[in-house]
Amino acid sequence: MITTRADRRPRRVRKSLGEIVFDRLNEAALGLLALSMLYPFWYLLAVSLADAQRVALSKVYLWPPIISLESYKNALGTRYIYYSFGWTILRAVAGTLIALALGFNMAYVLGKKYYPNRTFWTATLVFTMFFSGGIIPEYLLIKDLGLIDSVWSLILPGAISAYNIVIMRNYLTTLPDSLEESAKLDGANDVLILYKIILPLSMPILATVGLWTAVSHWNAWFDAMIYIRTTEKQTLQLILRRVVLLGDASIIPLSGEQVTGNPQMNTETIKAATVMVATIPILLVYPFIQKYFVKGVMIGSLKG
Amino acid sequence: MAISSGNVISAKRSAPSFAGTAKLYWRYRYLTLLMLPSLAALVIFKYIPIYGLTIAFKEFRIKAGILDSPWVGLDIFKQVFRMPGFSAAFRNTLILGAANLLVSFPAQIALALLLNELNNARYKKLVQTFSYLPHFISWITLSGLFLQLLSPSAGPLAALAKGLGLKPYYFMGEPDTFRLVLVAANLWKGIGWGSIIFLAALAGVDQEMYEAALIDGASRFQRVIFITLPAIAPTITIMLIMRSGSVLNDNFDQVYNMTNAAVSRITNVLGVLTYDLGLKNMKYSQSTAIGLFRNLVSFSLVLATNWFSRRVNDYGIW
Amino acid sequence: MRKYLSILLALCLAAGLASFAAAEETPYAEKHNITWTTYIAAPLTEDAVILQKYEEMFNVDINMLNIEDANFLEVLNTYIAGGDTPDVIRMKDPSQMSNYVSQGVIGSFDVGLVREYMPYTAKLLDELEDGAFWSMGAVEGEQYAIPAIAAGNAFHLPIIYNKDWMDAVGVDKTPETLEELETLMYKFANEDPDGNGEKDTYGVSSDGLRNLFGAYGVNPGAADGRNDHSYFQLIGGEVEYAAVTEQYREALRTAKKWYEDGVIDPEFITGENTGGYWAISNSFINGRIGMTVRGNYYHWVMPGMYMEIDENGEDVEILPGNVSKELVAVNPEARIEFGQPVEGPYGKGVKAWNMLSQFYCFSPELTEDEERFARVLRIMDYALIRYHTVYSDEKQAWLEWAYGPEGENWYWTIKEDGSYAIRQEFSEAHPDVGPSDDYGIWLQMAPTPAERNVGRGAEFAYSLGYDKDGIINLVQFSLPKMGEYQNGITQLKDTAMIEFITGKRSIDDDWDAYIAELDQAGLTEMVQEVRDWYWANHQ
Repeated sequence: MITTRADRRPRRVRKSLGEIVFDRLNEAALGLLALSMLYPFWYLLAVSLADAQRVALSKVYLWPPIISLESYKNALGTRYIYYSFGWTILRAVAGTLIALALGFNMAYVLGKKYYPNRTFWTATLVFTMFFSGGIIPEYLLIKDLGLIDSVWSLILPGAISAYNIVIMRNYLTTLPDSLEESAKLDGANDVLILYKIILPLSMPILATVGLWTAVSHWNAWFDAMIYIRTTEKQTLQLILRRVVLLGDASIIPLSGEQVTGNPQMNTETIKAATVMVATIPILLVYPFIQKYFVKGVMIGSLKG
Repeated sequence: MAISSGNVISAKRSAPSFAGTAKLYWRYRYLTLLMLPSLAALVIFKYIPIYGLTIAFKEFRIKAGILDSPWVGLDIFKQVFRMPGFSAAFRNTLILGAANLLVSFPAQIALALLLNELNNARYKKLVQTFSYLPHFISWITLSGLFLQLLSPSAGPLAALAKGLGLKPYYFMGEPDTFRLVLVAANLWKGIGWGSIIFLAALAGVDQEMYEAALIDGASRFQRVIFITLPAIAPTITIMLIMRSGSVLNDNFDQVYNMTNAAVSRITNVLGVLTYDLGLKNMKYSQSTAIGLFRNLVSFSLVLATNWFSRRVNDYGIW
Repeated sequence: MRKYLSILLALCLAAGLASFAAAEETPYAEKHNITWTTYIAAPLTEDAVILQKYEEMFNVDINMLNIEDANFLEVLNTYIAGGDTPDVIRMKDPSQMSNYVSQGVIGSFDVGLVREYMPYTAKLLDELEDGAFWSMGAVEGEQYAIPAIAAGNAFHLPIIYNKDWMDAVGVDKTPETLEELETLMYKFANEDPDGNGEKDTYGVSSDGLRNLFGAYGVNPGAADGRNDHSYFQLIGGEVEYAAVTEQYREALRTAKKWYEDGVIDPEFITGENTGGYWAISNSFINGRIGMTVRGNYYHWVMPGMYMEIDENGEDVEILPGNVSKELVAVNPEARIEFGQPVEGPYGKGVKAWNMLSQFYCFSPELTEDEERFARVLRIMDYALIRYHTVYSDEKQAWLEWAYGPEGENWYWTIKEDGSYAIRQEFSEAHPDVGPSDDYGIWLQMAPTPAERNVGRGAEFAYSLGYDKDGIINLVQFSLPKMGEYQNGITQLKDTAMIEFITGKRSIDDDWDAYIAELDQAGLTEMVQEVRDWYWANHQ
């Protein structure tokens, strides 16, 4: 169907009217969607900056009439939060690097059709996507390994993610085999091929999986709540949750009784500030990652 | 034991003997070496704790621990299946999970394709970044916003409907429309985040193919259909296979935060049941049994989808 | 009455302190390690000052587990299953106790030991509602827990009217009878109280229904668009599940009439709160409804409603509560009035929160070791005495030791009541001081008689009479069968309530089917269990 066209000259095509209309509509529609997604975030930003004593928080403003940094002072008020920033960055960076290394290696091997018992190994991996022992045996394992209160308790249990490995393996199988074959003729071994040739071509998928892993490390708190005992080693999300809970009188235990909080604090602004403090650093990572999602980045590097 | 069963599989297909297999491992020793650390982590952190699943077949005594609790066979499963709310919860979960999958999955692909068609790189990045934002906002915050948005008297949607001469509808007050709200909210929250993987796949499409198509005079739509989609088909297939198990995923967090008493008969999902059993009543055996049942179903669905995909386009997880 | 009780209290305290002073002279020979869980608002460090003080005084090493409140049970259960059972177990949700007992995780103990080593607390528990709370901590005659009681819950939920609307429709006093309430609610709905020329106002939404149902002697569920707990009340001399009584049915009829006449906001289904602080009624604040029963009285206190004491000992106008703050920010001119439960065919009342807030339980290892157990009981008793001390030189010395000079870091709010406050700057700068009074070693919700509701805020609530006419749930924790059936029953009940009011189901024709539905979900068994428990413990 495509090849029946007579004109085979490459042309700097002028867009048809239809295409122009499509482009404008597409831009408008995606713009609207983006705005709808920005809105709640923007709303939280406005609330976090509002002067809780004088601005009605349930009213929706584009920008609070009276700006106050009080809630940020509260959210960032304890010295523990600064330790926790370091601690969280450590777990996110180390956790992501380790997960990517372990995952990428395994994905590469499982992608090789000739590797013995490949199906069995893949099944072994995928099985863990659906079946896990639950929190109690995991706690016992961490305890027996002596990792309680260590950053490794936050990094190692999640280092192998079947989901991510399957996705990476899938990406790797789409790379042309010819690359590898020529390298093998040059006498390179598998390890060399993986890191010299395959790795540079895998940046889009590594960026994607890396982003997922980093964000999940950044947002994680449950593991730290269970495994970390030392106050100075609490992770960011755990501290922020506590800041919110301390100001939040809505701790309604199941019996229905109320616990009163500190009336000096306004929970809503602190909650909003908390979301900002927790989210903005990770959002700053995007621009560095987005360059890997540009069209043709891979083929470009293939030739380069 | 694990390794020997692996040999059984391989014996049927390739190497005829144990020695043959061992030889193959030696031949690909660099690959084996590459995979060893990952396998060690897999065994230690995923397979050792897996004995925890046995409490679905035991009367779990917290004091005795998992290993020393008494076995009770399938009693726990029988109990769970006979619970008054179980079948309704299963049905609700299935409906919600299937609807979420059917709506969100294609939408995420569509968003990636549309983003890919944007010509201005900066605009594209901006839209993309904004589209991730809802992923970072918890359901408890969003549920209040949706309540305001959908209020038939004060919400902006109602104002729009009135402006168009329509009667505003109380979407959150009726079970049927409440499902729509849940699915739509889930779509909106996850679409940007979910589209990342497809954008990554799109980044890998060979640009030369587009140039060739352009020479052939293919229209933009044709290029998407005949080049882009086939190029990311493997990714779509893999994602679909893995997500097919998610029809038993009920988004407990969302449902729990958005529900109200008028619609509870459709929001009573398996997650709520597990939460009540495990956390509120310390019935760990029962909640593990529900989880295990759920994962078995998910696993079977994934196996089935994978098998189907293999038959149709010779592509799958394995 | 209150005077008399406070004298009694003072005597107890003196006795308590004296007995403690005697104990202090005999130093504790053996040092014990104790792992402790309690309500921790902020994580404690090992070197928290007050913790050290306790350790020194009682020759113990306290390992305080910083378990976050929001996920308390998950973490606690993981620790227990992982072989790290704490010695002192805060049972955050009292309903969990029977599970822990049947799992053998907590130890039973002799009440005599408590009386011996914890005399002050034991005496308070004896006096509170004639010792009724003791029995809540017992299973089949064995004592497993020391109950903790939230004294602040002695006040029922506040009844709030929009004063501007009352003026606009020409009503100058808050309703005292159901008829007066009905008249006012109809006026709010029909006479355009906000004067915007549109018919966009209602009398009540979900929470305000508590006042209407209270006139029929029952507490409704489904308030706040959420399920409300199963409510058991003493009706006609027997323990009844409130939502299947004739009174409840009659209340539903009135509610249905109000709904049909446009007096109830049709959006009562999704509740009055559309996000934000839990006690806020957005419907009330945004001028959709004119009456609500939500939060606690202190959330609704308007600026200047009474005088508070500031750090210089001067009287200053009270600042707005957490809900009023929002109300004033939306409309600086807004005025509200606190009302009373209205008298109806079956009396009057509105919901009061449970007094029983949590239990303190102990590991079997602790209760089996009498000496260690006694040490723990002494610590807890001492903490409570210190907390309750009205004023004493000892308390002054303690506070100075813990927080530094009076006036600089902390100050007495009402010295004669023994209430004090820590300056915000100090508490911010020293998060590691440790358990202060609010987040004490077990003081949060320690058994406290209502008479300990001291301070100007409590005086205000007493002046409103909010300590009377609260509708209290007879069962403040769940019994085994109740734990099993309650969620299912509550859901059915709350959905039905909405359907009865909106007319989806007929109160006349579908009532029997509704009862049958609940029975099938286990209602009969649950009610029988509650009756057995209640009559075994109350004569």
